[in-house]
Amino acid sequence: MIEVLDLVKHYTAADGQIVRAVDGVSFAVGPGEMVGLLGANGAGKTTTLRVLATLLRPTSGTARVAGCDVVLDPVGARCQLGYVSATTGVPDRLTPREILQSFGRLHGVAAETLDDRVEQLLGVLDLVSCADRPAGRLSSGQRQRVSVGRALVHNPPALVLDEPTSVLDVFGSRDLLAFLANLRSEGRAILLSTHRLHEIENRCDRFVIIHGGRVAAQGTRAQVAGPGGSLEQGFFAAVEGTRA
Amino acid sequence: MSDIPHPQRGGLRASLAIARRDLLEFVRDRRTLLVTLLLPMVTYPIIALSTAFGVRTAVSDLEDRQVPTQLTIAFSGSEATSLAERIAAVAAAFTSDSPAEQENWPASLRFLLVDATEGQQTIDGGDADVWLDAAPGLLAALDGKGTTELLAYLPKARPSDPRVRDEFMAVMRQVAEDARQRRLADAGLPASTLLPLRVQFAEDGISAPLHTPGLLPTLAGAILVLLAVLTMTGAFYPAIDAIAGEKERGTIETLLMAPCGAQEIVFGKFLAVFAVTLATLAANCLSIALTAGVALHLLPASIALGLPNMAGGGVVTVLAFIGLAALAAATCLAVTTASKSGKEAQNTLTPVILLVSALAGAALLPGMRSDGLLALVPFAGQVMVASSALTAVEAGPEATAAVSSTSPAILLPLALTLLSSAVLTWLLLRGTAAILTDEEILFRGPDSATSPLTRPAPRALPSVGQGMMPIVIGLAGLWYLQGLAPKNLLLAIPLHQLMAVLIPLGATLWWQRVDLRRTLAWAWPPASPQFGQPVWWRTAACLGGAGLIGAALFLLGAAVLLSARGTGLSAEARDLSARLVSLLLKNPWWLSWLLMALLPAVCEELLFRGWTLGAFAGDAPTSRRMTAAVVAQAALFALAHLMPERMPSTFVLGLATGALRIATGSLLPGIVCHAIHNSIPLLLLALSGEAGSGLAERLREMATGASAQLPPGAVALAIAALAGGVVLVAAGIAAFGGRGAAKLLCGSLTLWLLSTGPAPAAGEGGPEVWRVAVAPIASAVTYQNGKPIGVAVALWEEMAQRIGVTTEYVREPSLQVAIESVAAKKVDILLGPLALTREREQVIDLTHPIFHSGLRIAVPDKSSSGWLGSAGALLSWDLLKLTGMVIALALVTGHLLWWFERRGNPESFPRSYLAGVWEATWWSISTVITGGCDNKHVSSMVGRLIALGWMLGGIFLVALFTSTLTATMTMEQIQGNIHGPRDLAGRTIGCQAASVAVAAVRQRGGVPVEFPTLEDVFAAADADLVEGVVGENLSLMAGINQPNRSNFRLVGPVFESLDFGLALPNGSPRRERLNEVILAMREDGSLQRILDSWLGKHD
Repeated sequence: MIEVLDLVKHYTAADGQIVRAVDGVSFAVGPGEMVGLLGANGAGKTTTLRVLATLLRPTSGTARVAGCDVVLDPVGARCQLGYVSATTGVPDRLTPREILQSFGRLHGVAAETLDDRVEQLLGVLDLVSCADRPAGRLSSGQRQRVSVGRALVHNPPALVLDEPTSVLDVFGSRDLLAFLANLRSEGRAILLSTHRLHEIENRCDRFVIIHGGRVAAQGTRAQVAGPGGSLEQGFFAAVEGTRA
Repeated sequence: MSDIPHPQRGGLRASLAIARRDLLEFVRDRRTLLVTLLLPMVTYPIIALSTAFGVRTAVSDLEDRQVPTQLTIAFSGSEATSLAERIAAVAAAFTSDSPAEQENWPASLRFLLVDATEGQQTIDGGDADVWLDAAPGLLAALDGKGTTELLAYLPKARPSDPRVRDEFMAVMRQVAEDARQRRLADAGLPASTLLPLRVQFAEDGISAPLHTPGLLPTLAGAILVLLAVLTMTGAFYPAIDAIAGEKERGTIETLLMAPCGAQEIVFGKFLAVFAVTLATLAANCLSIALTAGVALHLLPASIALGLPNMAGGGVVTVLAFIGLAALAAATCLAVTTASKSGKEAQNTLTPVILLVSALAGAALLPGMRSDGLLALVPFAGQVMVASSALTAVEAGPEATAAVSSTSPAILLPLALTLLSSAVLTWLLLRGTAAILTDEEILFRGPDSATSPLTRPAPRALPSVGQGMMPIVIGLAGLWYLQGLAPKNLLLAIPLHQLMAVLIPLGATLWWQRVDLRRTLAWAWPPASPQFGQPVWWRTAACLGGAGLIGAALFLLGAAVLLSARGTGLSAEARDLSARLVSLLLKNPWWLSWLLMALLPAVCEELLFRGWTLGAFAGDAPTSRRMTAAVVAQAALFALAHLMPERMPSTFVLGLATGALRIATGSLLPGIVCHAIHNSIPLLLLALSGEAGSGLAERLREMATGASAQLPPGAVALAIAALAGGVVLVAAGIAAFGGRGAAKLLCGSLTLWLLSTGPAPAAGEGGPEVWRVAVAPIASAVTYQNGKPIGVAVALWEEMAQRIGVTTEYVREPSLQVAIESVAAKKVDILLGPLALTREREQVIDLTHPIFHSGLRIAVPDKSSSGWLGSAGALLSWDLLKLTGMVIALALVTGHLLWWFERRGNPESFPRSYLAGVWEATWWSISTVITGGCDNKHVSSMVGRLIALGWMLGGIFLVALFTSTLTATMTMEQIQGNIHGPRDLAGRTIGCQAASVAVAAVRQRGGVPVEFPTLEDVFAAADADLVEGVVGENLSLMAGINQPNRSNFRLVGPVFESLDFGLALPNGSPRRERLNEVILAMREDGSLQRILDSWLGKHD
């Protein structure tokens, strides 16, 4: 469902230096699969996910979302993808219901099904009680749920989340991850990045560890962590291995 | 998951969804509502009140000056008593039908007898207004036959009331009239002797009422500017909210993730902002309408009321301003899109609004007319079109419907300005879409907003915004410069380059450190990695080719300009040409060349093709971006020249030099191209100076814009040079194989150029020598380097060639002396030209007329010349004081705010004095300009009170500004004194001695004062010795366009139709030969051609 193919993204820094943020990354996420993208700060996680979300153009290589190439057909890719990042905000002066409705319209959800879809999402995300309060007055957990609802309003088969739990407390994180597990069971492909390893240790099907813009290790927990090791140990081993 | 159908893609539906969402957000923002609806509702009533008050005061001042006063005349001398009695008797019997005479008549007359030694003392002390010394025999002389001279003394030690002179002259005219009657009676003639004919119309015809520019048009103009600025302000917050706000809240990526292109997003945003802007416009219009309904009667009745074209003008105004609203919305969106945060957007938008106000205000300058391409100028065009629609004279009584009464002449400018708004809006939206997806702006990390004075980190190349920065600063520099610019080009050109180019560029270079070599493309051409160190012949080919292109572009530019506009250049352009030519003639060639060619070429290339193009093209540009960059900088380059006629040619030059930089990777070919381009007029002038041959002369005329005819060879030559230049540069940068060809081209082009060099001068004429007198007569004859030039000289030289004689010029100091020496047969011909009058025919012979003209009046214009110069008028002392006051108040408020806020609120107002006061003062100014300042909050109670006071005061300040501006401009119009020949009566008017103007002025009741040359007349008028200048129309036109002349303007129609000819001694045998030549020249059109080429085509 999500394929990243030899992705390279270079920046030119203000002083003219070329920064290789992503330097040849490949992995895939299948339908009904939840994959954790792990890496230290500056490893290239966010850049990779932004390329997937068509917010950045790759320097070379490409990525596909449900078969749509993000470079050749970015609009098609956007139709197939929901994207939430830690910095994604919600419009303060609109209510959750208005936000979901406006994005539904923006994504071309047919008017006759829009209301049902919005009510369904509000229910699933436990936002019914605050559905008509301006988003500026919601808690950060509620706002993050609004963001997730916004990403799901057009019912995309693939979901990309960039550190969705970093603004949430432990309860918020737990609820969100549980919700994501439900989405996975509906058959969606889910790719999320985080550096809170323990939260996703038991939730993801597979892990991709990147370091310095390259894939340091990928596979199931057992493959990455080694027999009996924790994900954290596996992560350190992979990263140190690249460094050596 | 399959219960929901797949989403559709993008399009207008997405834009509408975004617009709908944004509008919902905007209406929930208190601030937007305040600025959109409340501000307009409050502003206009306040302006109406304060303007009405200001104008009332000004008008009552003016009316005070019209009220008759008591006139006290002191008499001395032996006949003092009898003269006083005579005057008293005349005054007692005063009746007059003339309103002017009644207006000037004193309220009462008082007489005082003094000793001759005390006379001056009496009037200086204020006991009397005028003192007359009546010498013995005065009354007898008055009743005799001759003209009696009577000296009247005015106070020296104190200024006298301006009415004294008028009132005294009115009384004395009556005394003269009385004496005239007495003389008639003495001669036994009836009073009707002097009234041989009285004409009356059989019935009262219907004559059109004179259109007097009243207060309202001026006020309307000021209101329109304010409307433009407030409309822009309406777009301010929504635009910040729509994009910069989204970035700040982190919602922008949710939009970028929508299944549509950046263009649809931007269009949706635009629709929302446009809707708010339109709402602001509507609120403003409503407020204006309500205010006008209520407040018009507050204005003094003596001011001519009435916008003649309220309904039709209103429709045009609303249409034009809808365009302006779209443009404002798009401009604000573009600026905020380039910013990362609301704060950054606000800091960038504030100066943009100021710039827009300046543009809109420029539309009110007297020289601005909406009937040309100026209607295309954003923000100024709309105001101009609206104001001319509102003030247009009603088409006629039969035109009753609102739109049909709008003169069709306004429809074209309206269409132009709407077109310009639409195109600019579209371009801005396209640009905004490109900026929106710019990864660097989207993801370059958190907003690191610091004080604007902090230097940012060094970069390889400047950003696009920084690329424009020196140009904007330079334009601001130009704006301020025009008030103080010296008339002397020797100083003005370097100063101009310094203020408009070098200082802004230097400051920007200091502020933003960049890789200079890369930004400015400072390398020998062709500079490209594939060549390494360039080979000499490649460099030579690039530079030589660039030079050829420059030369060709000048010729082609001049050709296009001339064929498109003929000689009908604007006054500014003609003035500039004239000044440039005189600069060339007065100074050594190398100095002129340095000033006109090298200095501008180096400075402007460094700025536009170096810094700006470097910034626009960016790092490793795509070919589309390169094209866009070259076009954009060329457009800026053309705009920065501020002269509409020159814009097309400067645009092409900018394109060419920009392309040269991109192609050769070096700035040097551009500099060479520009320098050669600017050198061509110099070269042509130098050629014509030595060889007065036909071709060179025609080229010179072409170069100075004096002739509409182009030597046919020039265009072909230019095209060939252009082609050659392009081939040369192409050869220079061609990878390989072009080497031999380029060398060949180099050689052959050089040979060809050498062989087609300047032709030798034409041979001398016949042996007969005529002595020709010349006297300085404005444009007809002036001297340059001791040689007479001018239209009369040009005419004569053509005539001399046809007759086959050579000329010995005899230089006479004045026209008077020249006429005498012709009469005395000391010379053969006087070039004159002299008006053909019977009086003159008696002393000298005159040829057939060489041209037909008339007299005209010029008055010193203290306010304005062209629209650039007239900007100075708006910088009145009152406005300066007001500006100073606003700055002082902002500083005081800034200090107070900082003092009360610095402890509790250091993040908005830092504790350190400089930084804190800077932030607080910025807050104050930003608040007044934009009606609120978003990025700071005021937290303390006292601070909020201060802020509240300042916000309310801000509205008053804006109102005060507008009303001061209006009052200044209104008074200018009310006070103008001489408007036409009718107003000459009683005025002292300067004339050239012995000219027909003297009699014409006298005939109209004016007091002619004679000066030897027209130059002296202008000098006298400039020194306020005379109130106006009367002279031959074309001479005056040329005279007022002279370099180094302070401002004069022509008023009223041409009167006293006259024919002008050359003068010969009585009975001169040469008269017939001259007449034949004149007739021949008139028939073959050469006479008209010479006249046109010197004087331009005038209606």
